[in-house]
Amino acid sequence: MKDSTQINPDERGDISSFSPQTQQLHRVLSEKSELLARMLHGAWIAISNTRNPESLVQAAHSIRELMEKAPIEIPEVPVQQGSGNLTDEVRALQSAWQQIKNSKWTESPPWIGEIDSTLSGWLSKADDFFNSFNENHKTRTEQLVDALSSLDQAGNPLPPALVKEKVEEWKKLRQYFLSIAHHGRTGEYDEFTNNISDLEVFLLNLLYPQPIKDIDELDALISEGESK
Amino acid sequence: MITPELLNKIKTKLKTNRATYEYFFNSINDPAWILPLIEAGFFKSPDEPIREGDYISFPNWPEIGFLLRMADKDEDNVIAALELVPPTENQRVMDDFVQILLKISSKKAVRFIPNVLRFLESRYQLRLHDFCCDLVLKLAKDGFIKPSIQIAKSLLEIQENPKVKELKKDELRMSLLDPLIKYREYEYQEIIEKIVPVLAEAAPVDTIHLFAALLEKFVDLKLFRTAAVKDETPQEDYSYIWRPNIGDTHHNQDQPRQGLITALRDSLLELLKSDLTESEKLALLKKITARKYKIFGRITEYVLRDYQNKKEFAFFYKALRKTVSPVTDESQLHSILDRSSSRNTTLFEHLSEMTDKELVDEIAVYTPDPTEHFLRSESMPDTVTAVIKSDIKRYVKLSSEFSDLKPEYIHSFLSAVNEKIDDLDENDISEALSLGQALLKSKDIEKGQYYDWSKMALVRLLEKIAGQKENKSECISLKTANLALEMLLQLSRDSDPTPEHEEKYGGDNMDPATLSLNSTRGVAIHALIRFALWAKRNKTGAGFIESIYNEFEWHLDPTNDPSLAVRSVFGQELPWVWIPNKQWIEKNIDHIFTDDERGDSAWNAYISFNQAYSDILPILEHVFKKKIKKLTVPSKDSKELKEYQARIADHLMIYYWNGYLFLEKNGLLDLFFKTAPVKYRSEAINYIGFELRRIEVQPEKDILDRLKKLWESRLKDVLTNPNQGTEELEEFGSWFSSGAFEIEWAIDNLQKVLQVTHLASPDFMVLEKLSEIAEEFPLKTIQCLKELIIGARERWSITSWRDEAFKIIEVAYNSNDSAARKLAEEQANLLVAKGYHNFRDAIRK
Repeated sequence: MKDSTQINPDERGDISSFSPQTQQLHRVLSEKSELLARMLHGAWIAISNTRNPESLVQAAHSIRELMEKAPIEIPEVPVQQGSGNLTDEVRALQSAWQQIKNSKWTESPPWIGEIDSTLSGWLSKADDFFNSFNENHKTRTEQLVDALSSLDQAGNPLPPALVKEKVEEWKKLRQYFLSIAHHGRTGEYDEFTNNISDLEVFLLNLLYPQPIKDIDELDALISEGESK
Repeated sequence: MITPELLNKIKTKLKTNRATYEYFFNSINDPAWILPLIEAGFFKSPDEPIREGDYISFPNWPEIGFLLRMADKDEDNVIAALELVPPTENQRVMDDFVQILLKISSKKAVRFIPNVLRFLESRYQLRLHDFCCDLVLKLAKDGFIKPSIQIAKSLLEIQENPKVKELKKDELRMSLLDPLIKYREYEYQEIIEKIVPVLAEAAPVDTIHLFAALLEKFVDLKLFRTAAVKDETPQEDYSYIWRPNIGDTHHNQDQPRQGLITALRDSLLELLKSDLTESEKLALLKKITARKYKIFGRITEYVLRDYQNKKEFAFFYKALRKTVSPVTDESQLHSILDRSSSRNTTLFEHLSEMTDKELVDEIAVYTPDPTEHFLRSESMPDTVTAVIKSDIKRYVKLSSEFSDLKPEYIHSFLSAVNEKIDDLDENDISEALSLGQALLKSKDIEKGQYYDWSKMALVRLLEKIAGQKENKSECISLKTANLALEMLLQLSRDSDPTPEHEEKYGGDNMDPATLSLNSTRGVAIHALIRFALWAKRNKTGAGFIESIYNEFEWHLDPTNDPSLAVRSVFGQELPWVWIPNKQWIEKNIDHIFTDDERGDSAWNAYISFNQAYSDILPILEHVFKKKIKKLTVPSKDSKELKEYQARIADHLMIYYWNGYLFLEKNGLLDLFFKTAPVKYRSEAINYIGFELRRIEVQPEKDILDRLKKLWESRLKDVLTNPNQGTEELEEFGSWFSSGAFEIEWAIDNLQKVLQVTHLASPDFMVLEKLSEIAEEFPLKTIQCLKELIIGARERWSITSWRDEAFKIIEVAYNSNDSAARKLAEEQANLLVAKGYHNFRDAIRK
């Protein structure tokens, strides 16, 4: 799986000097987004400059950016629509609430009257607001699950448990590059390139699936499991 | 050997994409996988339904598919896994779940009955009822009666029709609303037929109670009575009408109710054959008879007929017979039905045997019997029409006698003459027309619906006689034509259609052209056009034609005739108005196709009823221009407008194909392709594609050259300005698949199209053609396939051309072209990732 090779400093900068896996991902990314391809390329150039004491930090910055931008830049990934300005929506709800308060909450709270048509109307508005909020303001993890599902060619997502594991993998990689980029931890060259390689495999599986090879390997694993 | 390390490796593979996950669960075939997979967290997350817009689909869940395959190999572990499956809305999971229960022992399956009952509450059902039916039988045969009956009860559940709540109290009595069942009627019947024999034998008493309760609920809900109301004596249910014979077996209508009666009857018959004691049987029969409605007594009476002499049942049967005898006497009902069918024949024969005078007298004094409506399928006027038609030469002489009869009989007479025109000579026709004259002149005649119908029958007859007979001879000469024209000029000023009539019956109900065929003035204009053609054929003097066209001119003035229906006739019949008087059309074309709704109704009728005649193109060119500029994308509801507008595209393409229109700047086609919405531009391209596929003879070179020019021109235009919409290019798929063009030119242009659209229509035909030429053009065909796979958003679209795609990939992979081989490998992988596992074989040498 790990396909990164040592970099020849003399050839740094030329994409053909990187591993076949990196080249493949670079080709795939170029088709989807030049920006993402440049980030990958830039990261490897930074790594290859061994005389630069900040090379891993700079590479981590590029990779972190690549991971941030990938869901936006890859055309197949749906972009969150949003539903207008959240502050405006909250204010509208608040204003309606204030009117009810002023008209009904004449005595000291809590108000214990019946739910009449005015209050019922506000509750209904509040319900719509929260539904819309949940739909349009997804958490980062939810967005990631959506992105992973949308990239699966089968048009039907993997079971949630497997998707969760993939999300965890992504998060772990992101956390690693983030910590290097922000000097939270010191990067070791081998560890760093292994993580980039894992990320490359992750992205290639998504963007350039090779299920025939995987299925051939699965056949072998199944035979192994079913042999007595 | 399944080790944790092996399972980890497998899990890593499964995570890569859905295809590998599906492949794994579809391929493993050893129950030893079950426990490790449970431990690894599987069997807990069924695939949920996929909702897209108004549609919902239910994916196969590979994990339960594996359990189904293992169910008869390792019952206990399969059950352990099944216990983990949470509630789901996925119907296929439910189907597989119940199929597993069918494979395991009943003793172990019964613990999942609550799951099954919950599944049966589901809104959507695929084959669940089939599998549940089998489960009912399996459990009953194995002696698990209670769960078996529980499932049967749920399958056959009857519910109140919610529409009943919308009805007012006085509407309930006349309502035909049936209670609701869970399945289609034939499926419901199938369930009953499948389970009754087995259930009734295994548990007759429970089965009888089940069907008696279901039947009672059905009748309750059908008669809108509440279950709580219960009289001392059984209530009337009118079952002697809807089920006169309890012994009937085949019921194609009224299925649920009939099926329930048959089920109860057969279960009771099974009871009588069972080992229960006679007193136990009698007690149950009494219980059933005592239910709320009379139908139960009738069923019991029927099943006891063969047992009535048995001493245990004799007394009960006699008493029962007394109660139900009036309704079991079917002879009375049959005699009513027989009488109704025989009376029509009798009436026809009766009238036919009369002398002319007797016939007219009989019709004159005839007063309908109030019950006739129910007992007869045809009315007196219809029978009179049939009698006149049976001997038209004889009865046509009675025209003057008919003039004194009620208008419905004048209608009968004129309709009969119309249908038998070929059997009549001019004198006969003239005789018949005298009745028409009398009708138009009469002041005493009863006005109303039948009078209007009679006028309509007359105007239709006049239209008919302007034509030729089957033997191509004219029906009439100038003498009769003058008489007819006089009447037509009067009828063309009839009040029908009134603006109120058009308002009520036109609009969304009926388009103006159709309305014109159902209104006196509309048909009169149609008839006048026939007479103008008659005059041209028979070379009458100019005066005859002039009087017709003067009348037309009068109708084109909206202050005289505001009707949309009448105006539409001029559009619908434009070529035939043009033939006898070309100058008149040239002068009045803008008065026909005016810029108002009347002009639109004429244009819509023209464009939908006529071919693209080249003769009248010069007169219509400026009208086409106007209409092209007005092309819009109609709302979803305006289906008709969409069709009218699409016909403009069709006409333009016919003119282009035949060389009457060209692609010159500022010409009609230039205007069309520059301004028309993409929907109609697509329609134009599609129309030619359809023609290319339809015709059996290869078009001539000059036509193909013109078409090639159009393809190249559209491609260039759309590529220069993609904002105008690229969908029209998809339609060149049909041009390509027609095989009409040189193949290399065609595939090059198809590639250019696909690079923009990724779609070509119809895709399966395009793929078929591509697979045919794959050997010759491996790289180009695989490049086209690549684009089509990108465009295939819907899974089913690939399914429809998977064989062709397989061949293209296989050929490209085995070709000497390295670029083709690489692309083939990529496409095979992509298709496997989409779930088409067999594409693995396309890239194996």
